[in-house]
Amino acid sequence: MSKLLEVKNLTVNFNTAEGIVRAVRGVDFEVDKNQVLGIVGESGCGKSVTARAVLNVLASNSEIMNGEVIYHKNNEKIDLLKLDKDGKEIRKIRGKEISMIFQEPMTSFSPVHTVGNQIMEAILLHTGLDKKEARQRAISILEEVGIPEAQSRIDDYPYQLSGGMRQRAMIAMALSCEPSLLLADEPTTALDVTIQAQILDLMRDMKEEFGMSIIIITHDIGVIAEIADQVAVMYLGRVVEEASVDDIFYDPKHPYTRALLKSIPKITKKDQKEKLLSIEGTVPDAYNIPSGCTFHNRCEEYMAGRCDKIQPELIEISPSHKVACLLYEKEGD
Amino acid sequence: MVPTILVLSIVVFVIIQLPPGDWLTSYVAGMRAAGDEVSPERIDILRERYGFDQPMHVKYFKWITGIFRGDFGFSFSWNKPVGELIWSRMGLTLLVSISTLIFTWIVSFAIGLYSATHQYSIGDYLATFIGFIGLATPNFMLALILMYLSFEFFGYSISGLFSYEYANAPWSIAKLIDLLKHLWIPIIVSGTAGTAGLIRILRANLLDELGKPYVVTAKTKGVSNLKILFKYPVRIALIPFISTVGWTFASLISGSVITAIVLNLPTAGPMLLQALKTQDMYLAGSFIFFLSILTVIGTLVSDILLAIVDPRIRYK
Amino acid sequence: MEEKKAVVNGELLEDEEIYMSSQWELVWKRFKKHRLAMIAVGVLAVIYILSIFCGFFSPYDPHNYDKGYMNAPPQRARFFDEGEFNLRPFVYGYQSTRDPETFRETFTIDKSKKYPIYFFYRGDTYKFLGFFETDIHLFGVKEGKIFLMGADPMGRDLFSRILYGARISTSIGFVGVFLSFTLGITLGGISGYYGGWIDMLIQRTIEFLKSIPDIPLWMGLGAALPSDWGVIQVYFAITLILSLKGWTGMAREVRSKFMSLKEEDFVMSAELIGASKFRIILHHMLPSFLSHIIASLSLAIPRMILGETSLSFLGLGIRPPAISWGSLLQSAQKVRVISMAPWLLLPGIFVIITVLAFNFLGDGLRDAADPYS
Repeated sequence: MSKLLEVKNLTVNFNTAEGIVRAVRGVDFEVDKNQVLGIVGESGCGKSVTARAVLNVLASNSEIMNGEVIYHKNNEKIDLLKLDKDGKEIRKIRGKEISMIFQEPMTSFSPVHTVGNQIMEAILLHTGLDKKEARQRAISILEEVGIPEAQSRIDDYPYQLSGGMRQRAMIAMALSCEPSLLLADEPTTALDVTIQAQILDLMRDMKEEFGMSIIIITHDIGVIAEIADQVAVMYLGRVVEEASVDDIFYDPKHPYTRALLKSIPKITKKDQKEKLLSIEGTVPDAYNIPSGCTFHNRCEEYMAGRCDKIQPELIEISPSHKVACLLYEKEGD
Repeated sequence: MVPTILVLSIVVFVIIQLPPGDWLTSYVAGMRAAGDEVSPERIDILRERYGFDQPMHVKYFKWITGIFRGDFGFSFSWNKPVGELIWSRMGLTLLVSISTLIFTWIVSFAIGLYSATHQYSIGDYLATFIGFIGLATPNFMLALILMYLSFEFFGYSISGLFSYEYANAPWSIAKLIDLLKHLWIPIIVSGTAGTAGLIRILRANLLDELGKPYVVTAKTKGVSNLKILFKYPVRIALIPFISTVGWTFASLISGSVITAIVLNLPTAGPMLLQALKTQDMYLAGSFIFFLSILTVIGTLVSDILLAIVDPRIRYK
Repeated sequence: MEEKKAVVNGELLEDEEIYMSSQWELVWKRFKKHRLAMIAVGVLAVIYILSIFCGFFSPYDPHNYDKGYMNAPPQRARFFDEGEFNLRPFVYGYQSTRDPETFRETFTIDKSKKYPIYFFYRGDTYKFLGFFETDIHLFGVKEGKIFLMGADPMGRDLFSRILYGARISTSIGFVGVFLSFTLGITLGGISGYYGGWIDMLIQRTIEFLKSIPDIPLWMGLGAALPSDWGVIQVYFAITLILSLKGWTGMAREVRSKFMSLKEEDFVMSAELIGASKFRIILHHMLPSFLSHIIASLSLAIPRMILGETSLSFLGLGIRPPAISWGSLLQSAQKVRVISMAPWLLLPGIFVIITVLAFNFLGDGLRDAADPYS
């Protein structure tokens, strides 16, 4: 399979009144064509910032310190971070090549413009269609994502739609120009469980139909199991493990990934009592990141004198399985 | 709106009746003191017309029904029906207020937009500072300072709306130009406080909206920053901006009264003050009544505008 | 934290107090960061101290006039006399000349006359804080006159008059806001807590009052005050007139807070354990938005001050012999007078400074009170 997007050594800082927050600290990952990459981690681990950094639409108080985001457009390689972030080149990629959906469809739509208006905006911008054709296209894409009576709903305002319908409309907006990559930032978090499943189904169908790739960002490992092909586990601004979805679920290497998996409830037989575990402690303050391996203060396999001193690198322990943990590094390295 | 105006009329009537004594007596006394004799027939006619011997509600009824016929009562200090006195003054009041409103909107929109998009720049601080001063300075104080400065440095006093030669002339192009030459002073004086207030509102709202997720959404669609700014945050920040037009207009009308007194404009203000001081209550009451009605209309207009610009209200 | 407040017994009430104080500490901590607001507090403290002890700080009785000094310009207190340093500050005397063409009296500084300034000087008698009669002033001159801010057209000391005027102008804001506050919180609270027809009635009243333009209404009512009323009566009547519309904003704010708080769990739990409505309002709902109310109060005071100034300026507010900043500005209505004696506009500068300070203070309080904004 050929690569679509490579992120290398991405580093993002935030300047806040309380000091500098190192939100993303050297993140690497890749997405292949027609692949779903899941990025999973607790809130505050930098996963959403990573997604936004791909399109360079970060908040004004943030700064990309380092790294490359290489997008493979046909045979051309474009480093998105090298483009002027308000310039024409990147705007031709945003919405057309790579589009994005968000957690809260209510606030992600402008409340005073109709859904149709906002979907057509992207179509008009990136295709040569005129208004009438764009409207037709918007209606057909709304039908495609399963909005009934799209013909009339297109003139609805966001608050007139239900939560699930809004997220469908959001997906329709993102897919309206048939992008090659969809960034989905917690697309199901704000929805009811049944609707969540529907939206994930829809995303999978759309992926097959348009032959696109998806990066899905979530804190919910269940969502990962449902949709992802490849998984990157993030902790405090770094990727700690990256592997195929099967390897992550059946052969997790990093103590953090293991703890994360133990914290999901499982359906078991009555006599087979299994305690639901939670990870000890809380995510450390982003202003004072622990030394060495940032997970060491919560880790069950903590090795004093090593884990709190040496920062482990992401190394390949088997083909397509990478982990950043000193347990897997050769002693004396 | 109709009930509001009805209650309004009662309040105005109470204000008219507030001064002690009956003004017919003081009117007659005043005329006598000035050497004029008022015929007993005339006194009887006036007494009958305004129902002086009758209970309050009859007096009110006579007054309010008179208004529907275009009879607003009689001004005793001018010895003329109130209707003849107020219209040109109310017209000019409306002119000054509406021009001020337009000025206020344009200036505060431009400055507010600049301040919000250049947050913490020197221009932003300057705008904020001037805004604070503008809010803290009473209208009449600003008028006095402007008058003093222009007198001191340009040697003429800026008062009135017309030059001497045009004051009583019929309307013509030259008179209109003359009016425009004078108009900017009252516009600045009565518009400053409102402008300062609106700048702060717009700036705060716009800053709020600029951080909203839909702005990021629009960015991820590839829309240019300038287009995003005007299509989304500005559009939404304008909603409270427009909805405050009601009270902005109200405070302009209210503030223009005092400005007009200091600048001696031929609008409602000076005549209202004069009428209140001489207890010429039908004249004063009519002014208060019509100034209030203008305010009510302003509020109504802002409700309608709000429904136009905010779909969330339209569909409720 | 909220659950604790709902339980009414001795031990847990203590917890509630600890919680409250930490909330106020938070507000204070955030407020301290607002530098302009801190400066405003200092400025207001000075203005209020000056106005409370106006008799002591002013060199003259505000009604003490001298025909020889009509519109005399401000003097500067000096330490240097032609380059020579004096430990005791002094002022130069006036030389008055009459312009032969305009017959206007003009004053120039006469450096031959030097009047030293004495501190804790015994001058005109006044009532200290309105109780004890005394004649000690912070400063004064034995010969000549000291007019730090000039004299008015009657030859009265403007500085003394401004200080005495501050007493009325700054207190009217407080008294008026207290009235608005009481009315607003009572009616807004009733409106928001009970709802129904009473809410309807109060809301319509507010809408109606809001539809009357301030200044014409104030003028109408101000003009209606009987001319034989005394200073105190007029003072309270003016305050009442100014508060007539002032409470409406407060009432709306309180109402909307009550509406949203009514749905909160801690109010519900207090209701469930049988606390009375009054108690719920007083002990559970009020504290949770008191900081907001204080912030909006401090923004309402300057509006009152501006209102009083405007009314008195028009001659419909505070009447002589009482003095307010607005009534002082009455003498500065004509441009010719101002160009002759621009210092007559000084009371207006005091108005602007006070109003600015209150606005900054209010802004600082509002930011501090709302940690989530």
